[in-house]
Amino acid sequence: MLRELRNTLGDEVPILYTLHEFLPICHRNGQLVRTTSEKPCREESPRRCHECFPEVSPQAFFMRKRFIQSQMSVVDRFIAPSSFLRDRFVDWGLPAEKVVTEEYGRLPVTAAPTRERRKRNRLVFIGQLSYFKGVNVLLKAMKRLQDDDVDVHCSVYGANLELQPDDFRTEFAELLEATKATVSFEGEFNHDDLPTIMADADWVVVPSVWWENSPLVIQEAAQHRRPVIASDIGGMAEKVHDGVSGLHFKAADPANLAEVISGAISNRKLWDELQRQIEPPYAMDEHVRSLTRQYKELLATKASVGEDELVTPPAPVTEIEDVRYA
Amino acid sequence: MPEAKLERDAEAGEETARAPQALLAADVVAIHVAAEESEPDLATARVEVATLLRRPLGEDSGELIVAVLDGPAPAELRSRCADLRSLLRERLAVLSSAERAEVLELLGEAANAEPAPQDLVGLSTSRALAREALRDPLPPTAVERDEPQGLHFDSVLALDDDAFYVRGWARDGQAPLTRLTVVTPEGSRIELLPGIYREPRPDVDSFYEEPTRTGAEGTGFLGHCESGAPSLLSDGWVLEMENALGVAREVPGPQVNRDLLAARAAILSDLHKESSWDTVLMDHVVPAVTRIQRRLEERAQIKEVWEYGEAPANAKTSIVVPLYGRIDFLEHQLAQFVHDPELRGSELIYVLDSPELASALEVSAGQLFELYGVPFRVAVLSQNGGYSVANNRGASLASGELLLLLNSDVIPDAPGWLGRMASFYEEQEAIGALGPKLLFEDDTLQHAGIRFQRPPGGGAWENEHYFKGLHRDLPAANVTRQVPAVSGACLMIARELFEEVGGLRGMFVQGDYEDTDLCLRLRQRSRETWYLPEVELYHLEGQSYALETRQAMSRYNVWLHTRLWDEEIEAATAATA
Repeated sequence: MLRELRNTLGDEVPILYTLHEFLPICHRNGQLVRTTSEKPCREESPRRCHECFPEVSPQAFFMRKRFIQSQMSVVDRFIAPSSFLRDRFVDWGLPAEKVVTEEYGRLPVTAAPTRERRKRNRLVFIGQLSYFKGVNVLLKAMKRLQDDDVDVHCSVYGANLELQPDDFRTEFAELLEATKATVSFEGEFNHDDLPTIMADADWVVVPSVWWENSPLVIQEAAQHRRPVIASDIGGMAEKVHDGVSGLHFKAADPANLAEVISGAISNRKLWDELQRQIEPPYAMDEHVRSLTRQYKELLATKASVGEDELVTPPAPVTEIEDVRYA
Repeated sequence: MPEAKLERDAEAGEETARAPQALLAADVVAIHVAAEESEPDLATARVEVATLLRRPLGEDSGELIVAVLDGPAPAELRSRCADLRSLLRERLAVLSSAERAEVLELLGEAANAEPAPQDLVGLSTSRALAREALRDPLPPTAVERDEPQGLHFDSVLALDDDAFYVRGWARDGQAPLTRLTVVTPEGSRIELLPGIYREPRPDVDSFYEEPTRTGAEGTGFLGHCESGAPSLLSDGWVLEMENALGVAREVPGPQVNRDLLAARAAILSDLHKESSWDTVLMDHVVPAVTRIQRRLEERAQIKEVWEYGEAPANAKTSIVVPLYGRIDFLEHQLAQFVHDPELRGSELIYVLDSPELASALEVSAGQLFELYGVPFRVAVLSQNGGYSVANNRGASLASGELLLLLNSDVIPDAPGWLGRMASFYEEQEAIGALGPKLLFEDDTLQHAGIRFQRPPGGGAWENEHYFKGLHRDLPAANVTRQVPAVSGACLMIARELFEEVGGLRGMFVQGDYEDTDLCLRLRQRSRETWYLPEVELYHLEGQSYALETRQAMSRYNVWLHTRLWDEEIEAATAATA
């Protein structure tokens, strides 16, 4: 696909590629979580990938990587929304000078109102209802809090439950049942309702058990000025500063999450302090300006490269030249 | 009737110089029938067969027979000819059994004439009928405890029209065997003793009351044999035995198995009966497998050549890559070659050795050329021929001065490798073959040259890759030097030299030892083999074949290789030690 694009555009046109996920690196739908232990993985190799997928040989994994890298070699610049994501791709073999970190831009929104409340004990989960998004870790933590009679409430918004494997759905249903005193399952939500959802929440919980790259929900929380309680790994750890704009807990550890939540809701001042320290997210118009500038730079660089330094693919057959506009 | 005979003789005179196109036993009979005045004797039969040998029988032979038989109605003629057996029996009854056997032998010689007769099946059928008429069956034998003679014909594998691999057992409680003979349906007799491979058959021996007197060689036999004349019929094989007292017995044989690949697998599996390469068994397995390999090779011709893009004029190097099974490797290679301008300056020839994948490859090859823009050709073989055939066929299309034999599962680590190999090759005066460093997917050494090793006590020589599994940066593996041999996974050789030595030899089974065989043949011509570590490629081996099949074949290849090269390897090993 990339090479087709390059053949069509010719060598003079820069190609910028925004990296959204880890599919080129990880055969497990880019999750970077090992099939053997369900632990996050940050060291791909033909041998380790073969351990995750015994039916695929190490040689095949090697070829897969070289093949994808060959396709990606036609790209002039990669844009990674998080340093974590950038580092993974550079470790994997993309030339470091080709990969820059640049957060996704956000269109401006009016922040949801912050209601005066005696307790900051309302949590919200917004995301795919899947194993990797860690919703069950959150429910297990809620179960502990409920058993300890902690005054806390959590709303769960999310979709695609029907696409999940049976064992996950069963566990999710059982946990919902066990936590019905403190958790309300709201199902799918309309993006327009986000301000209302945020208005009703004090904390946004991002409990993913995989690295994430740059979760949009963290930016949305920042736009609505809600502190985030996030797993202490990958893109989440990078985007939420522990004790500054939110809190970290030990990824995939419900007991630790319960502890962090319990501490967070019992300390009124903490919430105010964290909220004050939330930085506004990267603005879309700034993002667009930056991309335009980078594109122009690359265009200029390419024009200054002598033609014979480029390996020119066969000229694409085109009939556009024959068309005359009066 | 005498007229008809004369006419025939006259024609024969004209055609003396020509070889027969077909010989039907019916014609022999016809002539005997024609010679009414006297009883036929062996001398007449000889003359007549000899006459037939020298004259062609065309479409008019039916008419000739009609004339010879003095004009009965065609329908009647047909029915008489159809009953060939009784005709022969009737006419040649006066001959002794030995004389009749000699007539059969003459028929066999006639059938083997060059060029080969056209209607081989018709000929075989006629000969089989003649055999039935002329051969005296021996008393049969049954497998019974108190029966002194026991005989069993297990299998006949057809390797070719006139080469077979037979298997069975024979035991005798009375006297040693003096003769063990197989008879083809067409009447050719093949004497198995003394050369056939014998093996003990304790299972058979323990069944009988009397101990066997057939000797220490063992009750079972198996091996390669040649019939001298084509044998195409599947039914009618016979196994005969005779002991020192003159007692002779026979048993019917099984149906012939003509599946070459099944035959090869069965023959190769016999190798487990021995633990050494220099036994009588190999004297049978090698010619048998060599025949099979030759036939497989003949079947694998270039059927079509597809061209994608224009190969550069005056390319220095021609790269030949066999594709077997995994046609997806084509894209994996092109996706790397696209980064390397040198590859666009070379001639790239893929050889499809899996003809069943031709239509799939045709679809993808065109798309891949459009995508990557690296020009290449695809030669499609008519049948799977194996590694050496595929390479040889590809090389026959090459026009570069240098030839690079490359496996489809080899991909370069970085551009520039091909030019470096070519320059090095051209700098060495006495070079024959050149091989680079090959790596496993985990950056350990797959190949840094090959040497030969044998277990203490003189077993078979095995190929040993230097430093296999050690890290790619191992200093000892980074020395450019002469080695006994290099891997055919990536091997450079001057095209002229490759053609001079006749390319890779197809006697090895499925991609093993052809490369070292080539290096040893080059060595015989005082050509050196070099290892060039500055060039590094990945060899992602072992994805095309099932492992078990490889193991069965590799024992054969190892033993054959040692059988061919024992002395030369000793010398090569001493020279590079």
